[in-house]
Amino acid sequence: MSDFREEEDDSLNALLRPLDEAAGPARRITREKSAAMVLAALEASARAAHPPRRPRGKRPPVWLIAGALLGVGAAAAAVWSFSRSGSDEDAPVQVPVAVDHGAAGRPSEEGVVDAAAAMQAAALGAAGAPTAQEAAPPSVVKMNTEDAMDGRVDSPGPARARQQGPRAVEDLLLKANGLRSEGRWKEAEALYLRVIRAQPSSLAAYVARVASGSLRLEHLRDARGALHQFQAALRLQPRGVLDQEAQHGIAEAHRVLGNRDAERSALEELLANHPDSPLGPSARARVRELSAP
Amino acid sequence: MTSMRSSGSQAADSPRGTEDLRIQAAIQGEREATGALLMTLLPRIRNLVRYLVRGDADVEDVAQEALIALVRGLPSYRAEGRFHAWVDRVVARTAFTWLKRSRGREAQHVDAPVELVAVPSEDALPDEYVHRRHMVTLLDRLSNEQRHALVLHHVLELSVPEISSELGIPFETVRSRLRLGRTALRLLATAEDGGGEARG
Repeated sequence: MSDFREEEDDSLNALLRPLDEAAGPARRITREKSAAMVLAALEASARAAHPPRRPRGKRPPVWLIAGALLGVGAAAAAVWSFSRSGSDEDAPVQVPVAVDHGAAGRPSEEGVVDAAAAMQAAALGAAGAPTAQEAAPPSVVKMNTEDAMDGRVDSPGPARARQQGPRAVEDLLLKANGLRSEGRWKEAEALYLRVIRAQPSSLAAYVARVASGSLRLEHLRDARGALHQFQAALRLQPRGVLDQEAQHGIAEAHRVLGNRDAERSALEELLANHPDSPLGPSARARVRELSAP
Repeated sequence: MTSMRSSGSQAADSPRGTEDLRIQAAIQGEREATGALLMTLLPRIRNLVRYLVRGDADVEDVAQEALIALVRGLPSYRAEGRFHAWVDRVVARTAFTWLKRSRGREAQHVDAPVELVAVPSEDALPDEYVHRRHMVTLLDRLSNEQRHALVLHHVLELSVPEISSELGIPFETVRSRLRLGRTALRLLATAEDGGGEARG
C-alpha cells in the first residue's frame, strides 16, 4: 500500500479501517429487509428495461380528455344519486368472515382467526382513506387455513390484488416489513398474505412466504402454518436467497410440532446444503441431541 | 476518470471461483444470480453509504438507489478491474449524486442521536461494531469535503491522484482536505476519549 499511502496515514489506520462486509458502521437490518431491497432493485430495473408500451398514433388533445372525464363524472354522479335515493333497502345483507381450519390444520385459534380477520382488513385496503368496501361489512367468506396462507380466498379483494403491478407489491412488502418491525405481527402477516395472493410466483411472494413463516413460528403460535409457508418458499425457489432461513424454519416448525425425525432430517439437509452457515453450529448440536439414544 | 483500484482487504479474500461464476451469470442478466449477488454485496454497500452520508436516516434510500444503479450497470462491467472496486465506485458516485440532489436537507441529521448499542452479530465482534459506529459519528461532525477525502483514502484505499480524478478536484486540494480531515478526526477522537475517561 506504500505506493499510494500518504504520510500520517498510519496514525489513522486504527480509526478508519478498510471497507468490508462485516457489521457496521451501517446499522444491521434483517435478511428479509435486505431481500426486499434487492427485490425492489430488480423490479425497478426490469421496469426500466421493459417500459409500458404507449399506443401509437397521435394523442387526443388534453382539453378533449378533460371534457370527456367531466362528462363521465357528471353522468356517474347522476346515476349514483338516483340509485341511492331508492335502493338502500335492497342492499345485500352481509355477515363477517367465517374461518374453517379444516382437517389438516390445528393452529391456535387465536392466531389464525385474528390473522384471517387482519388479512381481510388488509384486503379491503390497509392504507389510505376508507373505501366504500371498508364502510360496508365484508361479504360471507368460507376458507380453510391453507387456502388463506396461499391466498386462495374469495375475499373482496383478490381480483384487485392480482391486478396490482410489481410496484404495488413491493410497497406492500415494505409496508409489511415495517409493521413487523413495529411488532404489529398480525397486520404484517395479513400484508404478507396479500403479497402472496397478488403475485404467487414472484420473488416478492417468496420473501413474503419466508417472512410469514417466521411470524407464524415466532409470534403467532402457528407452527403448522409456518411449516407450510417455509415448504412453499422452498418449492418456489429451492436455491433462493433465503433458503437457509426457510430450511432452518422447517426444522424449527417440526421441533415445535414434536416431529423429531422430520426435524433431524431438515437440519441435516440444511447442513448438507450450507455447511458454512452461521446456523451450522446450533444445527449440528441439535442433530447430535436428536441422534442420541 | 481512473477506476478505483483497490477496496478493502475482505474483498480480496472472497472465494473467487463461485463468485466469478455468479458475477458472470448476473452480467448475463440471470435474475436469480443477480439477486444472490446483490444480497452478498448489500452489507458492503450499506457500510460504504453510511461512511459517506451523514446520519442513519438516509442510508437505506441511498443504498436502494445504489442497488438499482448496480443492476443497470452490470452489463457494462468489463471485468478490467476488480469487481468490488467497480461496485464501490458505483456506490460512491450514487451517494455523491444523492448528496448533491438533497443538499441542505441532509444537514438536518447532524445532531440526530446516534445509537451505540452493540448488536449481536455472526460477522463482527460487538466491540468492532461499536468502534465503527463511534467512528462514523465522529465523521458526521466533519465537513463533507474532508469526510469524503478521508473515506475514499482510508476506507476505499484510493491514492491521492485517484481521489483527485474521482472527485474532479486538484491534487493539492485533496491533500489539503486529507490533512485537515485527519487533524479534525484525531482531535475529535481524543476529545471523546478524554471526555469518556473524565466521565468514567
